[in-house]
Amino acid sequence: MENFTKLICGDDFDEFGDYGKIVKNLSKKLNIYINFIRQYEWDSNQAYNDIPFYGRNILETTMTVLLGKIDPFRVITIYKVQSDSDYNLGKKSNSAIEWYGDIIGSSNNGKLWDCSKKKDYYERSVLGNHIWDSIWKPALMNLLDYVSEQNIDSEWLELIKTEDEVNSYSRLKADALRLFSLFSKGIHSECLIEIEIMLDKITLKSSIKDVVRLCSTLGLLSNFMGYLLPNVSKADAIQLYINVEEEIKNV
Amino acid sequence: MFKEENGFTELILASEDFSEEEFCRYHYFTKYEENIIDQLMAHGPVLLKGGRGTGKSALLREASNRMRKDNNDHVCGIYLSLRHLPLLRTKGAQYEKEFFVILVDKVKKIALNDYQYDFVSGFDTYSVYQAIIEFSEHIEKRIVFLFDDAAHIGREAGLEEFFDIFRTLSSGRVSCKAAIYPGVTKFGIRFDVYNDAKILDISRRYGQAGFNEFFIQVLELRMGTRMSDLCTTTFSLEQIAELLGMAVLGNVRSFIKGCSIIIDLGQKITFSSISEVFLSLSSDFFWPMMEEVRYKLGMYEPLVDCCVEIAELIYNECGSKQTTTCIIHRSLVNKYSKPLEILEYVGFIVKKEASRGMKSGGRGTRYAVNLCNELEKVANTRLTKDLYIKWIKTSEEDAQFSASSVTFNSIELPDVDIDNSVGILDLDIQKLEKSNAFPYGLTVDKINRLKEENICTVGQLAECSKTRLKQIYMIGDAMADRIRNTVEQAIWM
Repeated sequence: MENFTKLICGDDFDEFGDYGKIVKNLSKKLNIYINFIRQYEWDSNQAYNDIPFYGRNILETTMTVLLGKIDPFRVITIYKVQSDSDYNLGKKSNSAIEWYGDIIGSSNNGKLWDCSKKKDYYERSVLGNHIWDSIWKPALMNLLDYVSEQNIDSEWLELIKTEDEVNSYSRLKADALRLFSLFSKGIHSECLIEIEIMLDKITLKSSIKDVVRLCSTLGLLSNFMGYLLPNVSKADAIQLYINVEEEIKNV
Repeated sequence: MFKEENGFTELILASEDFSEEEFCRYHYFTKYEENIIDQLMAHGPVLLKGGRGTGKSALLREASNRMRKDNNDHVCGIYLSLRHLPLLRTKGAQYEKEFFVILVDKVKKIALNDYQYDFVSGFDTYSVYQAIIEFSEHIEKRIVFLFDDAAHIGREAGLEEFFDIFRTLSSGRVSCKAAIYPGVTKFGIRFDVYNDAKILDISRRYGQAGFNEFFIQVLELRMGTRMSDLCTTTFSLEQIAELLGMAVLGNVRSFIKGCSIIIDLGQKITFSSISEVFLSLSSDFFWPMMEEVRYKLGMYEPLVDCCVEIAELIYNECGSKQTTTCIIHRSLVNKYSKPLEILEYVGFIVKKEASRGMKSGGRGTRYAVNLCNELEKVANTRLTKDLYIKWIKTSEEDAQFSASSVTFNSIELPDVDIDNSVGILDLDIQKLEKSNAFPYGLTVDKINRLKEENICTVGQLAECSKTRLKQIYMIGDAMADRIRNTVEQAIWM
């Protein structure tokens, strides 16, 4: 398995039943995508066709894996529904994963934990206020404490270390939104001006590095909250993170 | 590099002062900087954040050069320095007009020189936006604006307007990039920092990949063989680059100043001579810089004494522990946020970690400390081999300031003065005399000549056109440029 895939998906998921199968399927996809990026021939002059597709898929697949780690029942539901005899490829599925809702939470700045609110108020979005406060934030604290005494040569880790919990959340969420939109411009035919003006090689290279960093960072964090499974050890997660950083630098 | 003038060896500290040719010759970029340059050339809005002398201008200039020189098929880079006095003195519609006058003038020149295109625009947001889009369509390239010196700490007057313009001009055809300082916190109500721009922090941290390589290259490019001639078995060129780079917190401008002191000293490099260099940097460069900056902080000017107290406290504590870092509890960081930002701005400390667990409980921010200033507080004020090893290996525990630190909490935090303008403009031009605080300053002779022409304050000198300066006896073309650079640096650097 690729470093990137292992960092996001963990390992030893064979005994996880349907959830294990889901992670296995997603890890296969991530392997293909990240391999493609690592070996991409940038001189082909086709980057504006290829990179948005792969970039968007890396982002969406990673987020789906993380959604599963946070809320396995959500992805198992979709898996089961897709096996239902009435499931129709030609129809929109009502239970499909939605970018806004499942992945990106609302911008509600109200009281986070409020005893007067009903359960729907508490969002389960991967990048939502509640999941950040209850899962990613403590995971970030665990990570920062873990790396604080170690001399690790990683620009990506340095970036994580220089931001507090609030700014880290803002940056990760904004990056996810920005990259999702940017790659969408290349996938859908909504870019009507000459595409290479908007998505030239340097923009695509920079963006694909950003998306791998974003996904790797969330993947790393997911290994610092013990109950998010499947996972790898903290030491392995750090090493995988550094390996991915090194690999993607050379793209 | 050095320039000879009036018998004095003068060091160029700021990248803005290099000609195009010199700029290419004397600048080196590691993989870390190359990555930032790529992001400056890529599509999308970017804010480039870094303290004084961290290399923001050099990166913006290099990105601009590459976009133009490489005959890039898809991008047209336009570097624009916002060091213009009217921008400091205006806000609202007046600021916008002043801003667009500068911008339109710059685009007009590039459009004509590089594309034989007659760029015509009014000076309101809509007209400029339309004209730039038409220009982009005509040349079939994306436009990248690189705004240098866009936002300074303490100069909030036009910031809201600037970020409004930044946001409005950005589109599928136009990318805006701007250099800002740490501590700039007023972006206006329409600008959402993370959603409306990607933030890039420039930080050369000791221990970071490429740190030593970068400073060795700077040494070789700027000092030639002068430095290697002074190396000894105790200190090789690599060790000097590493130690000095670490001591000045990775700040390029301070590093170059330190190198010039070593060369001026002319002695073989030993622990004793390095001690002398560090103490000289501290007393003649860093602390005077705090005084110099005082008059540029506008509303935050009253905080300078508080900054000095905090700095003294940090250096005392770190000096006694011989450590290179300290952790300040979050409650103190929140309370003294602006003074700490000012200390970062002048290169006294630099943030290493935003959230670190503390021995006394809670979390705090971890800062690396300027070792030149710290040496003043180390017992015997001497760099010994033992201390050198402790610093280089960063083996000593951090100094820690807990939430209940009596000494820290007793530092008085004065109110800011929201009506205070930028004091430097009212100062006598005597202040610009070549000195440790103004290493790029003017000679007494030139100051006297300017005063004879009733140009007495920094503000009056800043308003003088080059033509007017050239009318003064013994001030030619080059000297007029030099005077203008000096006054610009005094106000903006």
